[in-house]
Amino acid sequence: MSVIALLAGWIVTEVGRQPWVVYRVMRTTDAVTGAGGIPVGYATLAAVYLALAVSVGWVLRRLQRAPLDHHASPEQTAVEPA
Amino acid sequence: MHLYDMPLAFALVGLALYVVLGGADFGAGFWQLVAGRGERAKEIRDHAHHSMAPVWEANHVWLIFVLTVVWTAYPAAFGSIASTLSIPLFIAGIGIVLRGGAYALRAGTATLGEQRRVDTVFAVSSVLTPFALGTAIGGIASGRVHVGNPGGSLTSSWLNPTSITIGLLAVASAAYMAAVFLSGDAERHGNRQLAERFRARALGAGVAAGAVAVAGIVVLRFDAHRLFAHLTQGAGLPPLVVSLLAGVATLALLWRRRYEPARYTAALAVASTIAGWALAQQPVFLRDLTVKQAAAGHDTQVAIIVAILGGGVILFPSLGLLFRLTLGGRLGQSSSTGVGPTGGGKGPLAPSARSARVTAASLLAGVGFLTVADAGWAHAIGVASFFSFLAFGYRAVLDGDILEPLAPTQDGRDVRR
Repeated sequence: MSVIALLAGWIVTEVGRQPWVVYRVMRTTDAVTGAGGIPVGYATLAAVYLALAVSVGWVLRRLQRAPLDHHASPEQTAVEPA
Repeated sequence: MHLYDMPLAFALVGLALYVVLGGADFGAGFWQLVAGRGERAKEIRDHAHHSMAPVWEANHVWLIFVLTVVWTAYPAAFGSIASTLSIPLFIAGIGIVLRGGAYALRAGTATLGEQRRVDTVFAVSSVLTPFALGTAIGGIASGRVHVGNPGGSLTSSWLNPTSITIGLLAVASAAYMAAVFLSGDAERHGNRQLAERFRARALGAGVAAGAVAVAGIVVLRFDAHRLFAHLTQGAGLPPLVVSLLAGVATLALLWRRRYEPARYTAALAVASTIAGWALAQQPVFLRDLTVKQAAAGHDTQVAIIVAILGGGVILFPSLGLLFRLTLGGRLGQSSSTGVGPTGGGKGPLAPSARSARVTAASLLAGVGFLTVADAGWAHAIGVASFFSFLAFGYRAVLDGDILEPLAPTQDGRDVRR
């Protein structure tokens, strides 16, 4: 809940400030990079973070099953939620 | 030196520290990549992994420092650099993320095959990141970044002879730093055989890095003539000579198996190249922008200098503690054995004394920023310093009081964070 509140507050600040990026100093359209390729960059970043999220889930489950000695049960794949 | 030069000087010190300390991290990944297969290769990969454990990712603090200082103090230059060199900087960013992710994931691997796969991701990103950052430096050094958004070609600004050479130099010197550090670490842990193997690697990488550096001078002669002229005849020459001498000294020390002093000469050799570049390029920042023109207003400059000094008061004692623990061999063991370091509270260094020092520094900074300074931002730093004062004061009292019953594990864990 607190995380949601935090993120919601953040979103409201960012969206509410539009079209300014620095209020009454600089517009978002003037601040954006002219480099191009933003969609490619976004897609790559999204893919990397998706892979990272999956990996984190995987490693947390691993560590949850064998918190102290992770070499104990190498091939076990069944997951039992706590 | 003018006021507008000072933040840049700090940023360059940060860059030098990043190249030396972060470079050693990246280089450890390089040795994992070329370790090959089999039992001996596994030993090399494990040693590289464990040696990094205590300081891993702490070194990126320098990259963050350089970025924040440059974008605060030289916004015009930063905007042009970030947009023109967006591709290599993006690659470096992804590389750093993958590196950190892979390093953390290694804890969850159960089979050797899994470990190898994770290590490969780590190692490839460890090579790619310094290369990409090197090409970005090369774009700036060869004057291919102009003022603008973007100010220069998105491709040839980092895919050009100078950039490629500096990228290769970054990878080679990272491998070299890492091998020097790792041979010292292996020797300290009493593993002679491993130390010998990293010594051979350090010698090889040192010669390779030297060769790339010399080739780089030739490339600059044709590709970046202004920089070449200032490096070989102007202000850049003394650091270049220092770098050369330190590099030769390192090889000699390695040859005689004097690993500890070799650490420092190797660092000097690499850091001097940064100094040489900076002195040869000044007063020009980008192709059509001097440092003076790039600088933000007077107040911003003063603010950032005070902030850097204030931050240094807190950062350096902390880093000093971290390195002393690492070099004293009191960290790093715990990651392989799973329990705290042995005899945690009885080492040559009393944690309470160090915490007390940081506590005093924080208190001083807090009082200074809240009373002497007038600005709102200074007060904010003052408040942060007081929080740091509270945290470290708590630590100091805790370490001093309950050393007896809690010391080994509690102490080890706390320090690792």
